[in-house]
Amino acid sequence: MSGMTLTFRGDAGTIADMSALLPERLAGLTAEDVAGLPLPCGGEVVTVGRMFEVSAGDAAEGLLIRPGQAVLDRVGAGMASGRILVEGDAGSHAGAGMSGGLLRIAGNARESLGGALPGLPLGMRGGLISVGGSAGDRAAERMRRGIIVVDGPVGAYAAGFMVAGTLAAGGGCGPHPGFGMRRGTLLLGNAQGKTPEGFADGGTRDWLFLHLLRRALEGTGSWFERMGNTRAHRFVGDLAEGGHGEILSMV
Amino acid sequence: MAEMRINGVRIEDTFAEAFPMTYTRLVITADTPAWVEAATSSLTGFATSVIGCGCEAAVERLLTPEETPDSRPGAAVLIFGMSTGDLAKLVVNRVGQCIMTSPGSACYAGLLQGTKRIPLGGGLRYFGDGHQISKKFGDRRFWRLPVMDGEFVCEDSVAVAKGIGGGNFLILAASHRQCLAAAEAAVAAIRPLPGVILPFPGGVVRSGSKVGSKYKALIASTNTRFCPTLRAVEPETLLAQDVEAVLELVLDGIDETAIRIGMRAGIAAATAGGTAAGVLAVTAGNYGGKLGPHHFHLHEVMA
Repeated sequence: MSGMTLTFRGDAGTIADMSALLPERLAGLTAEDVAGLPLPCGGEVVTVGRMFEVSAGDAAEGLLIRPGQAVLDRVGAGMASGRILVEGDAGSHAGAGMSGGLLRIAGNARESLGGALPGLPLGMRGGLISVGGSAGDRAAERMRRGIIVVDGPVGAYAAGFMVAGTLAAGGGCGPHPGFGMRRGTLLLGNAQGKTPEGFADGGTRDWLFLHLLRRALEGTGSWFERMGNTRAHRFVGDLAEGGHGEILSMV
Repeated sequence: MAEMRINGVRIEDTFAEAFPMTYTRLVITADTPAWVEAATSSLTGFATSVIGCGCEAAVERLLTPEETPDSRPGAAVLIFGMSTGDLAKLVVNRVGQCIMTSPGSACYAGLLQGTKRIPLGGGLRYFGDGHQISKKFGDRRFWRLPVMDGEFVCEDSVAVAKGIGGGNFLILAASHRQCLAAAEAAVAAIRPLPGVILPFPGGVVRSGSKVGSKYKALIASTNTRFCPTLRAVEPETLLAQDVEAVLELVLDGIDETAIRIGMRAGIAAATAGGTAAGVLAVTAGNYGGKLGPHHFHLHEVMA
């Protein structure tokens, strides 16, 4: 990445709110400018430069974050455009409320990946999130549009209250998937032992639109891009919300 | 201008007169090439001339699975109309009746940038009776409509752009058989070219028309000046005594370059056998420059 790099240099376990450090906001700023920006961190506000080593470069070309042992919450939250690459793990609410751009997390993400920020009605509204590891509970909660692809498993209540969009979890999911789901797609890389609660068995077939999803994921190196199959078992639900959503379980 | 001959075939010093049209490109896919052909032949059926059909359409080229959005065999189809409004009605009707009905088919936008957009799945989605599903991947929205063999996947909309209709040339030959052979050679040369279609049956027109008629109800009638059987009674005949048959190729293209390249390839193929193959002359149809702004002078095209 030829853009700007933020390398964490604080203490292990430090928690920081990264929602202000978005490519579109940092575009055109120098490393000194960025280093002087305020950063909510561990109950106080410090400067970015105190916690991160900031490299020269333009964030408009991309933002590379090296979190080390820090817990970086809200990475890419609210992002509308640009690219963020996290070389490591992300904290909670990564990509929450995101409306565009690309967020690539090489490691794991904690809860509410692509979900809704507290107090807001909708989660992710556009763009692409790609996670190389696993994700925590409530991934894609209240998601409205866009794609989230997680190579590993996601936690409980995946795609809960989803309005539309696609969450693809290669390693399956925890309990209560699609709880309150209105529309949208939860794609799981493994077979489901039983019909998820609130869903009806819709049978197994090849799904043409999954070819389109695969094309959309080209270049991410994600599990679904690598998988040649488009045959999946469909569960329709949440029936309590009209039954227009779906859980697709690859077979 | 000096006389031009190619392999002895006279190239008349005249021009083809073409006019602006609005076009779009669809990508049709299916499980097999045979079902692509079934879907596209239906889609492009009865689409030879805007005069009687409302639009002009044909397969631009076949696509390999690597070239299509869903990695299946497909075809690119060009559809030309006189206006965006006309095209919007015709395209959604044709896709609804000819593609959605064809087993295993899907329909995508083959033109993503243009002057405006017209609906595809956006107009057909209501057929899903509330069970239709929208998926937006990147900047492109698709509709999944439940149908009896699974789902019909159709892109939400497609762009339209300004194109050109009515590029043409006529082959004058010593016999009908030789005229047809030359026309077939021209069609074979033009069909592989991108951005240009031959909307008439087999790519060839045998009933060229002129503007107007002795009958008030008709806006066009047979082109008497090129009818061999009327040579003795048509004072303005353009046919010499040795011409037994005339066939015309009409080209619609996405721009002037596409038509120019198509005409050049077609005329070169038609004249390849020379006068020995019975081809006597190549000319073109025009209306004195009053019909359209695009003039393709044969001598310039073949220079």
